[in-house]
Amino acid sequence: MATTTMTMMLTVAEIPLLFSDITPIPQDDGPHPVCQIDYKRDFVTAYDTMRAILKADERSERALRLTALCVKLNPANYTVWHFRRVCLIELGLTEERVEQDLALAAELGGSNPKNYQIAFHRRALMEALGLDDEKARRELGYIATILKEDGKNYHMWSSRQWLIRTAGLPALWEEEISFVNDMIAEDCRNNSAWNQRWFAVHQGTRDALTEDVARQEADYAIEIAQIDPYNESPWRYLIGIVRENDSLVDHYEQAAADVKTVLVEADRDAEACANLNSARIDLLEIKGSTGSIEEALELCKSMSAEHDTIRRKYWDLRASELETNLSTTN
Amino acid sequence: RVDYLFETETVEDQEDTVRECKPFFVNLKELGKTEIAHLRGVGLMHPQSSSTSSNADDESICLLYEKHAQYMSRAFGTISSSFVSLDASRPWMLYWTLHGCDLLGDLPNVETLNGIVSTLQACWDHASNDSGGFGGGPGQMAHCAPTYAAVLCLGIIATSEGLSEEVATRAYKFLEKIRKPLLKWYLTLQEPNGAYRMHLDGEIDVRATYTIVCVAKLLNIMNEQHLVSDTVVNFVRDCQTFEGGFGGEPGSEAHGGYTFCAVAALHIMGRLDEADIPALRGWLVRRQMTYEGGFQGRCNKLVDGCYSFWQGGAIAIVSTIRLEGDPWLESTELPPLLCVERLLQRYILLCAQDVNGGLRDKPSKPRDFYHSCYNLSGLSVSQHCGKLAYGHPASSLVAKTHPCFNIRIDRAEKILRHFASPD
Repeated sequence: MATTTMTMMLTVAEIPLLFSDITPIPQDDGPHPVCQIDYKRDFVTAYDTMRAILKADERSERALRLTALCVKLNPANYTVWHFRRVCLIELGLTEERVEQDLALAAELGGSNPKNYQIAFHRRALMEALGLDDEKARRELGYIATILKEDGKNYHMWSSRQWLIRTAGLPALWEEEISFVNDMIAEDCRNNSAWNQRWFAVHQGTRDALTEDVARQEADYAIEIAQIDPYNESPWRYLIGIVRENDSLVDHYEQAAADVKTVLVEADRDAEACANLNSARIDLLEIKGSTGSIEEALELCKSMSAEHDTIRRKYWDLRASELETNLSTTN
Repeated sequence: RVDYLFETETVEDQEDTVRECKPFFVNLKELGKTEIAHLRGVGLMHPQSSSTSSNADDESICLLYEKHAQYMSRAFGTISSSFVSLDASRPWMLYWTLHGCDLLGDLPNVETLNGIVSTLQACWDHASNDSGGFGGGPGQMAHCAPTYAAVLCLGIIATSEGLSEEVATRAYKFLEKIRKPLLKWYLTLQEPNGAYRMHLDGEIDVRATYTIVCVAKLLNIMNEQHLVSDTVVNFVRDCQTFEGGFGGEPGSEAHGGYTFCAVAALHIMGRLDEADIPALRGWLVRRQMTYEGGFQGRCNKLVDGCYSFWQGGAIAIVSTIRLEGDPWLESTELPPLLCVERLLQRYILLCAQDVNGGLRDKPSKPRDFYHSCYNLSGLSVSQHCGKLAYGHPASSLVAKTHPCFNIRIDRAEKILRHFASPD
């Protein structure tokens, strides 16, 4: 792969010969420039030539090779990435070219994991070429390797969502749940994986789950919460599931309370786990009976006073809302 | 410090962060004379403060105004080649530093302000006949992010008539000239589903919506054509996740930066009440870190000083949900903030300040212009929309920023008034 990208790219030394017919255009920062970067000579050579090519709108092989050098020098230059795509389309976007570009993007992406342009370039190429089973799976495989390094890489998770939506292959949704299970098994506090679970299980929609699926998901959330009740992620997932399907609330409000036994067994203060209590408060509020609201109110007060004092103002606000709730129903 | 039963990588990373912040949470009463002298020497501790009174810690620590202004004004000259990775973000660098200096009450001189106007003009890109926007540098394509940064810079300069009538007028004139071209260009970026792209054929995310409505509101082009519509609003609403925060696109994980963009955009469009406010509120308050006091960007991730503004600003905006109009411009008494100002300000002043100037993500990270801007902006929101609860009362205040636009409120007010009158 490294060999491929080497031939795709120019070296600065090749520029004078390959672009001997081109008059480079220096950057015009205006009469009193500020924030001027003390560019290195190679950068100036590459970009002065790039400017001339952009001005002439020359969509050629040599222009393509120049864009590769320019994005290597600054992977965040979205103008050059855009022009690269323009060239590729002009020259004919073949599978081979896309493969080469994905390799280029991968090489650059390695040291620039948070770079928008690189992730977007991959998407744009695949969108232009069209996604099939094989291509989608290969890209999912690539993203999985990046996520191995950084399991919470935001753009990579977004790209996974885009891929699965766009590929439109029913099997991918199920496989994604499997992938998410592995990520959560690796680190049950990986919130990005939990978010992806929601996405996969809802198949990218905002429609509520069926009651059966909702129960499965709620069971899963409780199971993971039992591993470590201090972990916020499974609790918020549970709340999301129950809000969508409130027929589940009685059972899961009890299930949440039962997780306290895990804390007791581990010799911890079972009343002091803020994330567990917070989930119980939300569940009791959804339950809505006078008894539940009263219990939620007591929990808010203890959170404010003892167990989650940094959020005192919030818990006091929740308490007053619950009190209003009680007085209007009575 | 970190509550857990089962250790994972997330737990390890969090423990590392707690460990790195711990030494910065100095207990003044436990420090020796040499250490106190050192703190006074670098300017962190006020010379006239007592180290023994009960409020010693809370009221002794200073903001290093001169050092930070000095650091940020490097952006007004020539910067090293290592900044080449920001070569497509020069208007951003100018905004981060100009606004940062503005919050410190230290705008650069007229010559520099003129230079900024000229440089931004050089970044203007004519996308087509009578439409355009700012690119990240001269010759770069119009892009929503540098456009937002450039317009805010020009807004700061246009309202600095106290320094120079001439450069202020220059800035206003340029803004007047580009109003219509900006509107035209923005409309080309809209997608049928109400989303906006960041540039021609570029990525879609909620930052685009925010940067566009923010500029549009200030320049009074927001009510034109279909710039804002139900579909535009619904795209933003669709970015709210089950957690209560907002992601960059529908389905993406709830994240502080995107949450700020969504909340500010909805507020500017007058449609914040269409989001799930209870869920949003809950998510936001859970982002303040119990030990560190600063904010994390996402659940189960680490504290970072820049979220002082992204999350803190969103909290400030949401707190005004029941109020009409622009509560920060009117002298309305603001509702209390749901976060603990004292702990946030403590994080910013003790952990985020670099004693050599500039502010940072966390102690193990180097300072940079972006973190300098957003730590200071977060400090401002927390002080003015909340209260001054940490730091020397006379040596830690910054100017009051508008939580939606993130420029000083007096500037926001003047710009809105200027463009409110019909042309």
